[in-house]
Amino acid sequence: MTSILELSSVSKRFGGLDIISNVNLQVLKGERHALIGPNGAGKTTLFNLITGQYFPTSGTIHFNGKRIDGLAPYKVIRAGIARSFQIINIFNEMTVYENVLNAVVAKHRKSLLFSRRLTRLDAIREETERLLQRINLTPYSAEQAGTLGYGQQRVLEIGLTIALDPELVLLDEPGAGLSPEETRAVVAFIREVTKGKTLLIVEHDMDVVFKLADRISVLNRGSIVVTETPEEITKNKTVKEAYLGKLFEENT
Amino acid sequence: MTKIAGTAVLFVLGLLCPLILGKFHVYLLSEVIIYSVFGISYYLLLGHTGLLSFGHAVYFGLGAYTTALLLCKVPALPLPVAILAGAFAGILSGFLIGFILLRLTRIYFSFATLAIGQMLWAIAWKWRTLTGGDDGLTGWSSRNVVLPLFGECTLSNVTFIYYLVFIIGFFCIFLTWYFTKTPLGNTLSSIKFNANRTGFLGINNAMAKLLLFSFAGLIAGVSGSMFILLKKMVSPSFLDMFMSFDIAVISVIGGYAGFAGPIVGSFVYVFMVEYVSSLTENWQLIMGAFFVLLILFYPGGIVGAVHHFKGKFSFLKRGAGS
Amino acid sequence: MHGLVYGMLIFLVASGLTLVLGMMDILNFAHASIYMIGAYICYQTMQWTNNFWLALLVAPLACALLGILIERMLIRKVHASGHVNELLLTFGLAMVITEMIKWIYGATPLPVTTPTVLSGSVRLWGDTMYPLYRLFILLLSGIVLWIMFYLLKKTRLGIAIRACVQDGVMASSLGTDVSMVTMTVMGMGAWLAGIAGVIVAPYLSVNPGMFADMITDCFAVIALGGLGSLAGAFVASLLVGQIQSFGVIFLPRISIMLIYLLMVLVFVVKPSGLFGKKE
Repeated sequence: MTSILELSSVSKRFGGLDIISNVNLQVLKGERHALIGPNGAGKTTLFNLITGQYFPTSGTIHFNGKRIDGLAPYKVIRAGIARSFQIINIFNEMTVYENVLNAVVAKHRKSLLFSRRLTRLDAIREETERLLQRINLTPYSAEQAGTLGYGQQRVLEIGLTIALDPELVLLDEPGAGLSPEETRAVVAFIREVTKGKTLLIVEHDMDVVFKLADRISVLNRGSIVVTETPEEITKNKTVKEAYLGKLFEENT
Repeated sequence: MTKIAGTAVLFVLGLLCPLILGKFHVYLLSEVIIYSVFGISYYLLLGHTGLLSFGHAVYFGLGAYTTALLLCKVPALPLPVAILAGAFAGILSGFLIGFILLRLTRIYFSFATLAIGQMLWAIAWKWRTLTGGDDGLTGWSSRNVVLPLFGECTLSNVTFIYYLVFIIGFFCIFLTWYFTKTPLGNTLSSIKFNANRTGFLGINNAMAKLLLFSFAGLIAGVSGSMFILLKKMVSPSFLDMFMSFDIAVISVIGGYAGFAGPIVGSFVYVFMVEYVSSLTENWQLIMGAFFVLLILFYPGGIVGAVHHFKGKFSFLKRGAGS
Repeated sequence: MHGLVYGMLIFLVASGLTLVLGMMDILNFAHASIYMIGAYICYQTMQWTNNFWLALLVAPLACALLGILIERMLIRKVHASGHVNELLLTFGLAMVITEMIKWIYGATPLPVTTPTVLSGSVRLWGDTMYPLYRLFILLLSGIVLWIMFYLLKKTRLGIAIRACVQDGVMASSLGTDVSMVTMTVMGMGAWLAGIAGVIVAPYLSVNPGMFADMITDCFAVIALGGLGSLAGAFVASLLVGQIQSFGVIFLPRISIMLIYLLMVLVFVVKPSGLFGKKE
C-alpha cells in the first residue's frame, strides 16, 4: 500500500512553544486512519498544517508525492484534500441547497465563471440534487442552513466536504455534540461516503474510532506516541495506561 | 414573469419621460439614473459581497476625468469612444486598486479605501496641468453630435443626454444583474457569508474579489463618464470622500441589502437634495443628519422598511393554514 | 523640530483613535471631528473671554463629554445592527459635524491669537531662536502623554484598559466592566483630542478642513503603527510629523504623496502595520 499523505519531521512553533514537535505520520491510500489524543495535544493544529492554514516551522508534508506545505488552503483543497471542521462551519444564511451548490460548483472549478448564469448549469444542478439525496437532506433543501438541527448541520458539514469528491477526507471531530443515536448514524454515513477514499479522522469518541479506524495514531503533547491497529492499541500497555485508559473510562 | 413585465413597463415609461416631462425634470431623472448605476456598482461591493468602501468615488471620478480629458484634448474623437475610455479607466483602476486592497479585511479594508480615495483626490487637486486642479475642466457641451435619424444636436441638449444615459444606464444595470446571477456572483455572496469556508471549498477568494473590483470599477467608471456629460464639467470633488459619502447615503436611504435599494435611494436622494437646497444652503448638513438618523433607526432603508411592513401584513395573505 | 511638534499633536489625536479601534473594532471617524470641535471651542472661548487658559480647561472637557455622549447614545445603539452600520454611522457623524461647523462658522480660516505669555522666541543653543509657543506645545503634550503613560502602566484602570484592548471577551469574563472601560477610553481619547485642538488653534488656523487633514494623518499613523498599538502609533506619529514638515519645505507638492505611498506599501506588504499583530 502506498502512502497518500506523509508528514516528515513536522514541527510547529508558536511564540516559543512547540505545539507540534517532530511529527512523522504516514496515511496509507484507502485506509481509515484515526488521530486520537488528549485535549490540547495538537490534533486540530495538525489538520491546520495539512490544509495550509499554518506553515510548518520545520519539516515537510507530501500528498501523493508532491509537497503541499506552504501552499494556500485553496490550493491544498484543489490538490484533492477536503476537510470538515470541529465547530460547524457552513453557510448559515444560505439555504441547504445553496450550501451544497457552492461545493459542487467549486468541485467543477466553475466558481469564478461569469459568462453564464448559475441557473443554466444543468449538470451542476443535477449533481447538487443527487448529493442532497445521498446525504438525506432533500426535504430541507429550501431551509436556511442555520435553522437546521445540530445533527443535520453536522451531516451538511460533512456533505460539503464529500461534495468536493476529494481523494483524502479530513474529518475533525465529526461526532462532537451528537447523541449516541446520531453518532451511530453518522458513523454509518461516514463509512458509506468515504468508500474508495482515504480518511483521516480526529475523534474523542472511542466508539467511533474503533468502529471506523484501520489504524490509529496517538498524539500527545505535539508528538506521535504510537501508530498501530486498533487491536494492537488496546494491547499496548503504555498507551492504555497513559491515557487511553482514562479516555476509555470517560467514554464508556 | 412579473419581474420581466415590471422591467418592461419601466423601460417604456423611461423612454416616454422626455415627452411628458419638462426639461428640468428630465435633467433630474438623468441624474437619478446616473446615481443608480453608481449606486448599483457600490451595492456589488457592499450589499452583495459585504465590503464597505469609503473610496468608491475614485472609479467614478477616474471615469469622469478620462472621458472629460479626451473630449477636451482630442476633439475629433467620437463620443462613444470617449465613454468607452471612461469605462476602461474604471476597470483598470478597479483592478489596480483592488490588487492593493486584496489582503485587507473589514476595518483595514474600509480604512484603506478612504486613504486611497484621498490620495487620488490630492493628485487630481494638485496636478493642475492635467486636471485643471481646483477649477476642473469644461468645454465639451458645445460639441456637435450627429444622430442617425434625428440629425444634429449639441452635447448640452438635455433630451439627448437623457436618452444616452437611459440606454447606457439600463444596459449597465442589466449587466450587473446578470453578474450577480453567475457562479462568480454566487461565490462573492458565499464570501460575504463565510469567506473562510469558501476558501476551504478550493475557491480562490482573492481572484474572485479582483474580478469583483474590476467589474464594479467598470460600472462606476461608466457612470462617471455619463455624469460629466450631464454636468458639463469635471472637478476633483468627483473623487473625494464627500462623493463617496453621497453614494453611501444613497445606499442607506434605499437600503443596501438589495438591487432595488440604490435605485430607490437615488430617486429619493436627488429629489430630496433638490427640494432641501431650494429651502436652505445647508442642505448637506440636513442630508447628513438624515443619514445618521436612518442608520440609527432604519438601517434597512426604504426597501428594508417595505419588507418589514410586508412581513407584518403577510398574515393577511397567508390565512389560517400556515 | 517642527516635525516633532506636529508629530506630538498627531499622537494626541491618534492615540485615542487607535485604543478605541483596538478595543471595539470601530474606526471612529468622528474622533478627528472632536479634535476640530476642540479648536472651534477654543476660538469661541477666546472670542468671549480672550482667555486661552480657560479655553484649555473648558474645551477638552467639553470634548470628553461629547465623546462619551457619542459612545453612549449613538454607537451603542447601532452596535446591534452590525459592523458595517457602525462604520457608516461614525463616518456620517463626522460629515455632519463638519457641515455643522461650516454652517455656524463658515469655511474661511479663523485666527486665534497666541497668548502673550507664550508668544515670541526663546534662545535655545548658540544663536538658534525657537518660537516659545512650539516649546509650549511640546511641553504640554509631553506632560499629558506622560500622565497617560503612567495611567496605562501603573494603575488598575490602565491594566483594565490594556486587557480590554488585547482581548475584550476575556477581560469581561474575568470581571472587568468592559462597557465602563470603553466609556472611559472614549472620554479620555476625546479629552486628548480636545487638548490637541486647543493647542493647535494658535499654531495653525482654525478651519473646517482640519478634519480631513487630521483624519488622513491619523490613518497614516494607524496604518503604519498597527491597530491598537500605542507604541506603534507613537513612532508612526513622529514619522508622519517629520515627513509632513520636511515635505512641506522641500517637496511641497508631493509631501502628502509620500505618506500615501508609504501607506499603500504597508497595505500590500504587511497589512497589520509595522508594529501590528497578524490577525
